[in-house]
Amino acid sequence: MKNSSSFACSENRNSFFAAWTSFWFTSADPVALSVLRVLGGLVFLYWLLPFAGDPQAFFGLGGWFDSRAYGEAARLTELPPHLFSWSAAYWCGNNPTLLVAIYWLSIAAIVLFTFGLATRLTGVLTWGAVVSFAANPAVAHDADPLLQMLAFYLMLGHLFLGLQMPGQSPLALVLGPTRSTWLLNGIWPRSRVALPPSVGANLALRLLQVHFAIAMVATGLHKLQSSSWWSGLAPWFYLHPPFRSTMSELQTYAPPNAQTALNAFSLVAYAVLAWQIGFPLFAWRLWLRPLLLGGAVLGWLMTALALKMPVVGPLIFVICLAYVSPMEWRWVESMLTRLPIFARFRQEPDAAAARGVKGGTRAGAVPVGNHT
Amino acid sequence: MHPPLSPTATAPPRWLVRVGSAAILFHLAAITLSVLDMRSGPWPSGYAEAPAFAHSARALSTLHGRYLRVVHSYDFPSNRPGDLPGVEFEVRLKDVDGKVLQTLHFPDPKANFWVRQRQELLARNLAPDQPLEPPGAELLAPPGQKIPTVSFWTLPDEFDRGAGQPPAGNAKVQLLLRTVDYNHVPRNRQLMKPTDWALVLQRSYARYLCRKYGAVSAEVLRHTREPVSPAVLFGNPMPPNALQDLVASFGEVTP
Repeated sequence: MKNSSSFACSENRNSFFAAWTSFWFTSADPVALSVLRVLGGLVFLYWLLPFAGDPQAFFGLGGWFDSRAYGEAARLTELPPHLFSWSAAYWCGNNPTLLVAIYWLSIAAIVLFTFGLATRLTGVLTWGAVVSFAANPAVAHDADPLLQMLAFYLMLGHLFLGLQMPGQSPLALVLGPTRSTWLLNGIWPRSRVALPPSVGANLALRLLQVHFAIAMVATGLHKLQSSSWWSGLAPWFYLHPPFRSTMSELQTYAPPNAQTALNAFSLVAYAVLAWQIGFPLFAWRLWLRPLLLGGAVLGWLMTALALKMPVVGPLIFVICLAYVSPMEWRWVESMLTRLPIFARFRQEPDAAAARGVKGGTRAGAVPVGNHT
Repeated sequence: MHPPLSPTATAPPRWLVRVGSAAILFHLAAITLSVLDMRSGPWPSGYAEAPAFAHSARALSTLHGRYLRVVHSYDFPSNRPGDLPGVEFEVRLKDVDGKVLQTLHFPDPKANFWVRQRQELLARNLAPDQPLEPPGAELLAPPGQKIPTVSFWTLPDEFDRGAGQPPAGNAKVQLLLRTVDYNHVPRNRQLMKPTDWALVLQRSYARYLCRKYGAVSAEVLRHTREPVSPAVLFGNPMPPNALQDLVASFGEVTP
């Protein structure tokens, strides 16, 4: 009896460690990381480019939040620590020319990273740019921690990606495997050198997935501390900001429309809570993919239209794409190449065989994590 | 379960898996501790402090918070839409004689969407106010030092008229920020004050506008509106002060 229970215990332990190792340390086709890099890079540009008109005002020490304000804020004790950070913008002091130069160098680094050029270097620079330009505490925004999260794990994945490729020059080791990452590994263009499956790519995506799941559950639970979510009236407050509402508009909710509106608001509020708090239950399930991505798209629409938050929606959608497995991305690729518009990217059978691609899935690539 | 590893996939050596696993656990602990190390509420008994273990172990997330910038509580102000007043502000730029040169409104309706959104974020930080706890007993300044001061909102002629009396007539009142030492704080009523963070922000933005427009001083006036009451949804009339501005002047700032 004792022997059989200790055997079962040992088997459980082995199976836990096998699952743990398989989850974090499996080699995976880096296509998912590449897609995320391109989409993430576009979001970073979408976030940062609108401030090109006056970087000094938004990010400089002579701008909205000046060096004197930093000194005053340092004496305050009740501020959340995440408001204050390091930033490359601080090195510029009150020199607006230097700040503009750093701003445009950052934009250039993000563009190069998005295109997949020297990703080991440009990934680090992109992360540095995102942290630096999200550092102004005067305009701290809900999107900032998510931007920093995405930039960090993209950097991490690209630091490890292709490290073990044979025959790399020292320069390629420092800059990254540009020939393989330029533009979308495995999707376009077809003449690039294929990257082998990578533990680093899988690890970075896994960390992003788990971190984002923690963030979603945490923000959902924080919402439960507000009566407006329990009563289901949160959407009412989002849709009717005090300075954009008029009495005549509010009167349209008077009975008999009130009950319908109340039902709709509370349904939306509880759907949002259920999606966020229940996020880990469906995010890794292949068959619940429509719930993951459909919810992200609806969230995008709601944050853009009701909350007037332009970055949060696309950012959450892109991070949700991190849960899509390499196998699914290969399936999307095979579907796209059937379209006439993408016909010229279609791989010849012999070329595909030479690259080790079979049936839309690279041989040796391991479809991980979405079948648990 | 996951499918087995493909024969062509190379598994990392066991020592690397162990080191990597330790690093992953440390990383996830740092992220989770920052989420937990937050006071919660308000509950009927007020705010509850963060769990002791999370607060004691917060040093674990120093690297992640200060340098890597990947930790956050994920408690966003926008999570509490019913508690946040609407805020806009205007800035009166003045010359050396105190004459108003220009009045600027924020969020600026002419600014592009992105800039306007940042101005809204800045405005949001100027409110809400917080109650001022008056000192229980008279304070004595240490030798060579002054009694600490505090700023709070008052009606324009409140100190002349006598505390507690309502303003004359139905004129639209504008609150003023008054700074006095703690021993002169009125004790016969509840006082409200802006947060220290709001004071730092409005001074900084006023200085920025003075530099930008060449003004000698600037006065920031905050307009706030209470969140729109959902009374109409329950068949009740809208409150009479719904959508009305409360104007409060932070006073003049010089660069």
